[in-house]
Amino acid sequence: MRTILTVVGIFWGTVSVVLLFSVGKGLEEMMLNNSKGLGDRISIVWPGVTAKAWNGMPAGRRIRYTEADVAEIKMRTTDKISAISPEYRSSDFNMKYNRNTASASISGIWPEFGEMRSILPQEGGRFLNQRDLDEKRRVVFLGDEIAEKLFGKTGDIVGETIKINKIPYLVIGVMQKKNQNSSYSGRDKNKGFIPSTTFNSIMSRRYPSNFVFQAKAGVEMKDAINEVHRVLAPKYGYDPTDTRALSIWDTTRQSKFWSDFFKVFRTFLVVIGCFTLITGGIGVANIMHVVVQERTKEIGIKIALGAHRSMILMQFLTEGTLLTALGGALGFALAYSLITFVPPFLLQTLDFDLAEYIGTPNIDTFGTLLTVSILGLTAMFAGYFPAKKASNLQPVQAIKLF
Amino acid sequence: MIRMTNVSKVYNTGSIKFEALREVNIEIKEREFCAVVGPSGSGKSTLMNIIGCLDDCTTGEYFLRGTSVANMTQNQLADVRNQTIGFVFQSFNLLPYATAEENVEVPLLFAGKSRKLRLERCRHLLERVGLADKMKNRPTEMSGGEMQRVAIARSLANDPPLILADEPTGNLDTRTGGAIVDLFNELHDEGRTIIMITHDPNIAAKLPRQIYMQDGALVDKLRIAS
Repeated sequence: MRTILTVVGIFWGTVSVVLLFSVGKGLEEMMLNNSKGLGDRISIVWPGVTAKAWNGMPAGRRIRYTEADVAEIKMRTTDKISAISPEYRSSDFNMKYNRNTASASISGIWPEFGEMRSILPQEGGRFLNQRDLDEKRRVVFLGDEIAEKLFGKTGDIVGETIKINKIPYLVIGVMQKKNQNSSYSGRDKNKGFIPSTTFNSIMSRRYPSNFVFQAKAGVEMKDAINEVHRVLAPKYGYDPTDTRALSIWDTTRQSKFWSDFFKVFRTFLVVIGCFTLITGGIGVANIMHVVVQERTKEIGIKIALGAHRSMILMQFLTEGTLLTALGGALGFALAYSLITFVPPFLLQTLDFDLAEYIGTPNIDTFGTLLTVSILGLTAMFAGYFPAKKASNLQPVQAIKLF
Repeated sequence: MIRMTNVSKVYNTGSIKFEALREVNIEIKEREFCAVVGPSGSGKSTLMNIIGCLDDCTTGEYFLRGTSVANMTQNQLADVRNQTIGFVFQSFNLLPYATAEENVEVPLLFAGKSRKLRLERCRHLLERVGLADKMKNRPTEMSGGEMQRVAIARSLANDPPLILADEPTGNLDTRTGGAIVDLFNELHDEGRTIIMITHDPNIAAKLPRQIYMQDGALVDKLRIAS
């Protein structure tokens, strides 16, 4: 009975710590992955309204920019900004392939948009290029989910023609599946991307919805944003320090938040893990202690029958090792199967994709080994010393103690 | 076989000293069959434990087959308990979770005998004490007499020349006890030295030699009677 309790103690300790670390690790990996889904080191800029008076003009003026302005920013800030693209956007386009239809949002953009926003083509396809832009080609790059909706698959559809608002477009590529945990206009997997020139020839917009730029590696986003103001402020006559003149979303502040958050989160996990281990360890030690006490008589009998002290100790150490190994293995097995089978099960029965929210738990091998060995050593020490004490008694005393 | 000179045993229980044995001098030759008789607390068991190397003496010297026990290492003592002495307890002291066969096997295990030899020996010994059909039974499934037979079989495992029995019939009824004593007689006839503590004057009287104890010392029979 006690033996079973010891095994259960080690078993449960292993399960909880492995699950804890695995889910934590999965969550962190997913967050890091996802925060890159929108793009690395990018800011998104929308038109804004001035909040400060400037050069005799009152506050409250609307500031907008044209595609030409974006081109000018690109030209004049090459030392701070590595990529930039305007984005014309409109939703509720009707896409059609054979009898399949889908409604999607379409962005008209420049070729460099793809790489900075982590929109990468699957094998066999490509993103938009400069010639598409120059020649106002009717080509479209599809998000993977919208492609799935139209074609029932994402591979092998490059070269097909779909109709967008009844105008035919050539599919040039499909986006690689990616995790994206933030967005400003829906997930990229549900969008289509066409050249900005093509977009304008159909929709004739004067102003892009927004533009996106990427700071050069090693450049502070703050400095890159100042560069944008340096170009646009004189042109539209607003105070370059007026942060409301343009509405800017600096995504690096979010990634900084996540990386700080995970530092705290990891510490938190380790602390919880330690407490769990201590609790488990105390339980196991307690049980082992009682086991040996209960078996003091047995130890006495065995010594009376001619057991060497080392044989008695070996017996307890062997038992300790076996129990630990058994408990650890069972615990690991349960944790592993929970991790492997529960998320798909939830997905099937509840139509609830756990992975989208907490990531895919990832077994932390090092953590597992550490857990099992700490609990195991505790069990062995807790068993070893009382056993040693009992085997050092005169056999008569050991027999009579209980 | 056994020689003790001025052996004393003092138990210190907190501040209280209790002298369990006082200056005991005794010699027991090979092939003797002795009964140790005396009231409770007279030191019989203490004497037996010291003879069986289950306890050490406070002062005095104890020679077992010419060797001073005080000079032996722990491992040597373990080997003596394993090879030279067979101990039968009043309360049997069998391992409760093990079968009769496994209980008899324990001393053989410590002696490092091969599995085949061990099984053969167990079967032989349990047959000898009349328990061939109970080899796979656990102590809880056996009567007192049967448990004591298992204990005797176990004491014989490594064929020791000296058998020590601490009131082996104390927990048994007269008839079962008689059968156990018969078994000891057989063992004596085989040439073993046997020392047996007993409360039963009838059993003691039938044995070749009686050792009387009172208040931790050896006395002659007259003092006990009075």
